[in-house]
Amino acid sequence: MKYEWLIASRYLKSRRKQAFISIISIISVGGVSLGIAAVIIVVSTLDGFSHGLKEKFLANEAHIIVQSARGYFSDYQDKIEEIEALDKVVAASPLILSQLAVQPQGSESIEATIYIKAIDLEQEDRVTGFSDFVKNFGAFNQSQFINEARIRLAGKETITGGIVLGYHVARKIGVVPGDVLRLISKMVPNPATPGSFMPLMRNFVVVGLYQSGLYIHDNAFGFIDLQTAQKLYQKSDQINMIEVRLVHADMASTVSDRIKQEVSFEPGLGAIPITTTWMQSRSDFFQAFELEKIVTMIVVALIILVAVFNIASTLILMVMEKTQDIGILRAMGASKQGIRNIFIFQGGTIGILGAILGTVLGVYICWRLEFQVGSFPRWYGLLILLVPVVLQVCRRFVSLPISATGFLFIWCIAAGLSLYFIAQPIYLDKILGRDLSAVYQLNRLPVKISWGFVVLMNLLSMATCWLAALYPASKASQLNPVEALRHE
Amino acid sequence: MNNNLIRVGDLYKSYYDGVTELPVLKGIDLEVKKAEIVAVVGASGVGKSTLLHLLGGLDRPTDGTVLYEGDDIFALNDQELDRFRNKEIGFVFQFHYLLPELTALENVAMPGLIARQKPDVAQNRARELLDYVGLVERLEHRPSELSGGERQRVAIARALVNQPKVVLADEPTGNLDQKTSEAVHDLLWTLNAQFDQTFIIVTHNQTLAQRADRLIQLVDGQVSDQV
Repeated sequence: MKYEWLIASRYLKSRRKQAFISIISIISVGGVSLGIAAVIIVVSTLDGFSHGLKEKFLANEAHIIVQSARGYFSDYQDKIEEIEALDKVVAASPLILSQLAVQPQGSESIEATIYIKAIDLEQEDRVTGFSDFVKNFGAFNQSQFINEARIRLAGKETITGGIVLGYHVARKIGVVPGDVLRLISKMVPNPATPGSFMPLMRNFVVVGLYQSGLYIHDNAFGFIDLQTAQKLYQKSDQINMIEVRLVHADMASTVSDRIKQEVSFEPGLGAIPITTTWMQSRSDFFQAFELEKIVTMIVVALIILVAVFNIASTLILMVMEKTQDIGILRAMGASKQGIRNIFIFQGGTIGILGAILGTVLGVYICWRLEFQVGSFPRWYGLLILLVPVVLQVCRRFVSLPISATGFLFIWCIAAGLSLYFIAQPIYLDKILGRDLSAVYQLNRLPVKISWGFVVLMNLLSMATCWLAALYPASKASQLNPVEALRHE
Repeated sequence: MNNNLIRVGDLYKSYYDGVTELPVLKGIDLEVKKAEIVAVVGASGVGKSTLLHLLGGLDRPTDGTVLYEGDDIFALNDQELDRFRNKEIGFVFQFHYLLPELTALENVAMPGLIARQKPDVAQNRARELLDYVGLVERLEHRPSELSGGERQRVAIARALVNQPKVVLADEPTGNLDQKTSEAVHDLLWTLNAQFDQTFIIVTHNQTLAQRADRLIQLVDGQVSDQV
């Protein structure tokens, strides 16, 4: 072992006269670990959050929406075929998107206006996987619920078809599958009193509930059959949107450019399709996320900075404590570089230990958060005992600045934490005390650990620890040996 | 001349406190032969320690030369001077200056480690020397677990571990009682007899001064008397 290492490690471990220095080095390591763990947890949850949302958005949303500048257009099956012929396109499907007022049967008021997506079930499934999000659903217009409703109404009113309601829409207006809804599509002149208007209403039976887990979807949409809608809106063989699914969501902008080039509507003005990619329609959302992530990261990174200042002051203190040692080492022929190394090694050791412990802690907590409910066996709490075990093993090979009492302390904390986790898994819903899906759009908090980022944070914090050690170390190396020996 | 280990020529050293110059050594000339034990005596503040530091290359003089076997050590650059101190000089101070976190063995091995010897080589040599100074039972003890005399013996062993040309001792027994002091003195003389080790000892201790081969008296930064 180089003498610099020998001395540096003994200084870190020192437990006799300068016992408080070893306590300070434990605190320094703790500070760095906490900082790193906090950054990892914060960034991983924010990343997981935005990634989870993206996945949810993309699971039931088209990657590209194609519209005509003129609104409704016909010959849409030709356009769909043209688009599907393009490279990287998986499927395209017709859609009429409109907003209708909803009046449940038995209610006298209009309870809500919702977006109605009129879709071709088979084609829609290939683009947005619609049926996957509706339980026990076969087809819009053939359902046990419709038959029952027809019998119930017994000819008094006609049933136009079935509707699938967003789960939260149904809850909001208080209907369950089997209930009848009136959809008010437009106002028509009232033949009884000229000059006045009456709503054009059609009865639909709720045949299923759409539950994607994404609140803004589940709280906004209803779905009906395309052909039924075309009749309802008197737009036979016309639609106002084509939804497109791609092999990979990231290709949306390239493919949307190609659609603009190769697909055209009727010649003349407005022939070029209007395309909207998912990135465009959600850009504000994801940009806000990025911004939040950066700001949070800066705030949390300050913790690491504080820890680094802590290291600098620890080492400055150490240099003052060890001035005579530095003098005698110089007298024995140790070079300035050698003296500098002793203190840089100390800073580096604190940085590396802190980074390792912080990473273990951060990643562990991330895993706990991710596999919270049910899927995560409770005995995994025992994993936290790995921290002291790893430390004990490390101690066999390198000198750690942890005394026997320190180890006892770490063992106690680890045992306590793992017992706690075994007895009490982390339930976010319990902690926050409310239904997460409404607030966070997601049923659980997803965590996405970006290993590249973890490695980067580790390198960065080790580098800053090294920088923090630089000043005290060079001060130590500049000490005049004769004066250092006289130092009391 | 050929028998001379050290030649000091016209050595000056002044300290500056920013404005005024404080001359400490004012033209020292002296020679030390190999295997000699030289005692340097003089009143406090006369520059004995400063002379010792300069002889050991721990500080640079304002003017003058220190020749070891004909070579001027202050012609060396800092790194070379570090290496020179490491290989050719052993220091013993009034205070033992042992590193408190290290065991006796590690303390004694330190100059070897600084010379980049393999740890086991340095430790074997350190063990030999600690055996020689009678501390073979104390290898794994830390300085705080040793008595004053034992600490100073460890410090002497440390000074000898790289087989230096000369051991420079600055009041090596200044902190010890008379009986322990004499034991340490005996050790120095034994080492001198057995290894032809050269010693330059700054001391106030009359018995030690009388026992030396030669006495150099410093008065007002100059050599006033050599016996």
